[in-house]
Amino acid sequence: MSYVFRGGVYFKGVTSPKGVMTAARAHELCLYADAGASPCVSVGERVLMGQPAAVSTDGAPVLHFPASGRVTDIESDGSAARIIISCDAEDTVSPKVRKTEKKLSDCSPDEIIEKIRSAGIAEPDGASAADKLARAVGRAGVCVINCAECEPYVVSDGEAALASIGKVINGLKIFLRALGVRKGVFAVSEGSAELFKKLSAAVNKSLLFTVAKVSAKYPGGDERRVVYALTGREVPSDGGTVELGYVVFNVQTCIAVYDAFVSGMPQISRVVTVAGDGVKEPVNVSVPIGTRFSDLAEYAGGTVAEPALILEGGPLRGTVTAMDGAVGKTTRAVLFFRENEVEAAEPVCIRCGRCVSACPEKLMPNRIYNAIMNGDRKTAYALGADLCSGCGICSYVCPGKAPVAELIRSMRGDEEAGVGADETDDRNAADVSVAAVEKDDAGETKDGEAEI
Amino acid sequence: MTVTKNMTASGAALSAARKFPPYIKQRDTVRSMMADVLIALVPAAVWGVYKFGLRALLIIAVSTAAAAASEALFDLAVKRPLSVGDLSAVVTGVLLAFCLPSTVPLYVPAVGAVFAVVVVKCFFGGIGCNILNPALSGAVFVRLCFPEATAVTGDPLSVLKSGGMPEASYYDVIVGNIPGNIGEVSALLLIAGGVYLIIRGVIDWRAPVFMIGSVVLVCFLIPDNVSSFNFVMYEVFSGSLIMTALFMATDPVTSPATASGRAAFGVLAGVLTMLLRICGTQPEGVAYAVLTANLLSGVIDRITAPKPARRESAAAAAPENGGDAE
Repeated sequence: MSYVFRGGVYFKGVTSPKGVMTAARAHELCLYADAGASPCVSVGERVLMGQPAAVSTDGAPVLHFPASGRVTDIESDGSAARIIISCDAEDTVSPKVRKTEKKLSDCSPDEIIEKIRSAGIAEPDGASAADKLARAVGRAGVCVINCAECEPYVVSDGEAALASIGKVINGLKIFLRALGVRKGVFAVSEGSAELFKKLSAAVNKSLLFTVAKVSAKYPGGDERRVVYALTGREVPSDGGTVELGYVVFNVQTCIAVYDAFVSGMPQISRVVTVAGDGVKEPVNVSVPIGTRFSDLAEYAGGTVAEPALILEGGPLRGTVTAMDGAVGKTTRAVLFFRENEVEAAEPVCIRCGRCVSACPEKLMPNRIYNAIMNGDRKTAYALGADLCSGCGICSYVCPGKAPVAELIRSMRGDEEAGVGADETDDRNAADVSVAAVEKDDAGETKDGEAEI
Repeated sequence: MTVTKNMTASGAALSAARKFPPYIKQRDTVRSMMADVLIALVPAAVWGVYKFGLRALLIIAVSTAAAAASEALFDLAVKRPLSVGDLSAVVTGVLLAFCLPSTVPLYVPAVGAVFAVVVVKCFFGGIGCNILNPALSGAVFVRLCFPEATAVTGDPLSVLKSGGMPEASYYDVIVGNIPGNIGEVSALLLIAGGVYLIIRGVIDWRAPVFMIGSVVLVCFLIPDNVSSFNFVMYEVFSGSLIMTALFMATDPVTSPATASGRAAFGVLAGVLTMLLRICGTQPEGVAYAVLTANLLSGVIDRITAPKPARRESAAAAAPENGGDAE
């Protein structure tokens, strides 16, 4: 029994690849170090598999070499850096990669967290899994491993889980040990009956675990929707699941944690869905971090024609990328499309309310859209633009092709970047921020109370 | 001035937004929705032409042509991109003709259509910006301007209003074998069209169901010289209730956007309809009822707005996991 959240959309008629293929050895890998991480190797240096490639400002390794080889190039543009290695065929493992000698029951939570931290494991949103785990200790009573994903085409998490059931289950044991709790849940999409069956069979005898189905509706794989499916309680749109006592980790994070704990190998690979009508044979493929998108296209039988649109991630949340991009720790899928859907020349809101009934955050996207189009950011935030989780359903269902989600993201991006609002309207103080709006609201309430 | 400036600003916002997801959109467009509405109106139109003769078809044609042409001319005059292609003006034209008897002079649908499209829709900013349903406003406008030409006599509601007892059988009333306006008489075929639109997801069932339902309820609450059940049959199936409830109260632009708001909108329109029919001087009151509800739909939207789940206290406000990741 699971609770079905309000709103959302079922995507039908999209076929996704089954199974996970292991990639052939890459000749060259391209590692991207995010802003805040700096490469700790130099050009020409010989590097080994599992050796740190970049460290964060506090010295923790955040990126590791997925293969042995030689560094051929390091490009840096001030913040982000790109490290290119030419791989040899030896796969020599760094001597620092060591098996854990202790048994899990002998490890303290701090040791486990440290292990995860040094493996540089990241959640799909890019956050450090170790930080997330450390913050959840003492607050979360249940650990959820999220195998449910819901964007069309993207099935890498479910297929990865199916390919390594044992790792997933033991990975969750590691999380439970670190959290000091005895309740673990696997959240599986209704759509993946096989995974549900296999996980249920595998956890059959254990009292620690349950397997729960979550809605196959998009965005049913969101942390907040997963916790809603399990509890029937809504996670505040401006809060995290930990507030309800639940901490949710992605299943590929769970697999990486298992590998890091058992073999000591940092996060150096992941399963990626390669699909879209631009490739011949869509596949899920387990690839080292740093695999170029052009290589991914080859694994999928090559491109049908010059792709007009390449997306990293799903079609509802992904970002546009190019052939020379490379797989990072957050790359769930790379999609190749022959056509780039053309925007309607004249978007229009006919107030049909489809976005209102589809919004999983219970916003009224139509009103937010109209506020933004009128240049009235303050109203947009008062209507909850800050609560938008960016699932993109409002834009998807809009018959007037209004770019609702796009405008909200664009506006919030501007706020973060400190770009002023347009100057045509006096209502737009350039620095209207969420805080300012909230302050205003509070002020009004106070005034009201005073009058009473 | 402000309008031009804002147009530019929104244009800039639109182009800045283009780099963000989503990258897929559902196939439905405003045009496809309007085309569906037109398809849904065909059976009732065919019945109207069968019942009232080719003149009914001529009135539909004049009304539709006037509506489409006036929208195109307005767009040309104010140098805006042509919006006739979205078919909403065509729907307005057809619906307006449906509200008129087949005996009206041809200038009546033309005047009504121009008023509906130019004054009620275009002056307010075009599709999506109008406050009142254009077709309904156009119909009311010509009824006020040309009361004699637009009057219908001998229909069950008029007979009821004059204190008589209608002679039409239930069968005649439901099928549409009664005097009335071109598109309003065949309740059966209108309902068929409405069901098609509900199945296609073009309209929401709430507004019509709650509107008709509340008319029925009010009928039973009012003691009348006609035995209750007959009274309900005539009130529901003759007159404009079925057409207005299915095709005007469901107008996306002028009805609330929330589910509960649509229910409230329907109840409001239904109750007002019966108040106007019983207490008013005219036999029919559906048009005024829905137009009044149109005016309130913004307020209804605000009252029935869904409440997003925000944190209860700022105490738990330490930014934890973003919660956005799948």
